[in-house]
Parts: sequence; C-alpha cells; structure tokens
Amino acid sequence: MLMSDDLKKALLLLLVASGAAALANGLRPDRLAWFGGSGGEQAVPGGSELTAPRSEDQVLRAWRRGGAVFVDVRSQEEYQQGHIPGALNIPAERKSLHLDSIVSLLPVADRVILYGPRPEVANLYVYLLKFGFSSRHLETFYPGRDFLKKHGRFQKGRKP
Amino acid sequence: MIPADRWKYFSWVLAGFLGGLFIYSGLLKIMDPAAFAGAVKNYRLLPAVFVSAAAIILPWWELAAGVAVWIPKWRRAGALVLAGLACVFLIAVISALIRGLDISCGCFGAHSHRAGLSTLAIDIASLAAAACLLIPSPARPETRGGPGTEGNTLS
Repeated sequence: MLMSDDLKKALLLLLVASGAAALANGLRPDRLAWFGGSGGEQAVPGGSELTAPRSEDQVLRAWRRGGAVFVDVRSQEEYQQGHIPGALNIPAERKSLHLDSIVSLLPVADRVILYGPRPEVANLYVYLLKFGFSSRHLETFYPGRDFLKKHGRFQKGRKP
Repeated sequence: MIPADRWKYFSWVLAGFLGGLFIYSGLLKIMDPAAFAGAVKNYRLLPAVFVSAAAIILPWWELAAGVAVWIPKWRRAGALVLAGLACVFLIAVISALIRGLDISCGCFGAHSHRAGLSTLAIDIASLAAAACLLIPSPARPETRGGPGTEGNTLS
C-alpha cells in the first residue's frame, strides 16, 4: 500500500517541478502567458484558433491568381510524389532544419497557405507564429486523402 | 512469487525505461512549449484559460517524476506521479478517439504522431509500468519493523 511518506514526496516533487516550470517559463524570451495570453506574452494558437481551412476551389483560385506562397508540410517523400506546383516543402517534423526556408518566407508572407494533414499543419502554424508571422496571413488547407495524388492538375510538372 | 533479487533487477529495468521515456518526452515539450500548448488545446478538454498553465507545468512534472524513478528512495513517489500523469493522458486520448478528433497526440513534441491506438498502447504500458513500481517488493513488508524487514531491497 502507498505510504504517507511516498505521498508527501510525490507532492513535494510536484511542487518543486512547478516552481522550476514557472522559473523556466519566466526566463524564456518566448514565454507563454499563464492564463489567457495577454500583456505582450505569446497567446496559445492551435485548435479552433487556426484559420478556417480553405476549400479545394479556393486553393485553385489562389494558385491561378498567384501571390500566395504554398507550403507543403508533409515529408519529403510524400512531397515528391505530388504537390502543388511551386510549393515549398517544410516537413513539420523537421521544421527546425528548414529555418532558411522559413526566414525566406517572411518578406513575402502576405499570404502563406499551409497544406497537409491537420496535425502537421497545426504544428508548423504554431511554429511560424513564433517566427513573427501573423495569423492574418497564414491560411490552412487539408487536402483529401487522394487529392494530391489523383488530381491530375496537381501532379508534379503539370499545371492546373 | 518473484524472488526479491529478481524483482530488484526487474524494477531497475522498468524504472530505467519508464523514467527515460518521460524524461525524453518532458524535455521535448519543455523545448517547444507553444507547440505543446497547441496540442493540449486540440484535445478540447481544458478551458482555454488553463491550457497555457498545463503546457508550462506538465512537462516539468514528467521530467521531475522521470528523474525520481531513477533514484531508489524517490522511486515510489515518482511512480505515483507518473501513474497519475499516465491516467490523465490515457483519458485524454480515449476521449479524443471517441470524439473522432484527428489531432497530434503531443506526446513527443514535434515528433508526435496522430493520437490513435499506438498512443493508447504507450499510455497503457506507462500506467502498467508505473503501477508495477508501486507494488511493494516481495521482500518489503507492509508494516515497517515486522518480520522480514532485513530483506528490504527496493529502497
């Protein structure tokens, strides 16, 4: 059975860890706001705060019109199998290895459309906000399962 | 019944794996708290006002408890915390699966996979491992000072 000694130690552990967490967060330049995200501290994006995803038609129109930067958040292998022409490949799982590509986006960041599976898109979305991108300029698109593979207009080398 | 010496080695191996897993997981989240906050928020279980606080504190609890299970005198306390954390994660993943949420599990920062059956398996295994570490050693008496106290090998 659990002894009160173990419980006391567990509570002490949680208390010390919470103190360390508060200290570490306070020392971070990109610290999170504890409650709500006001006062110049970083608010928590993600989930419902992600911009509403674009439809396939909207993506097609944006591609034809130009001016938007497409970012494919899938792996390099998936990207090579078919992607939106001109899209940059910044795999969400290896985003820290693509800092140059991210920085190169900043001057042209009026409209950046992140596309791929939702978790990866959310992952990179959060990361880009940390780099100074505004959520007003970030858009999301979740292509259907076979959209990029089957849609001839989106095969590599072809144009819509 | 498992002999005391075997139990000792078993608990060391178990503590090694469990502690390592949570230390690794905690460090990844500590390095990128905003991403973890996004993952917590995606579960839609906590009121928005508490998401940041959870994202700041939980990884440090994981780290501290992971280190604690490596220290014999703190092993049961660490296992107690880890069991609690595993229960919380398990409930979150099950609720996400029931609601059909297509979200990142947030378990390992940027290396996280989709919340699914594999996440569920990891959480159940973690909970089982933490529960094993809470079980007194065969040589550890329930009442201190009773017969067999000399054989206490766990702590």
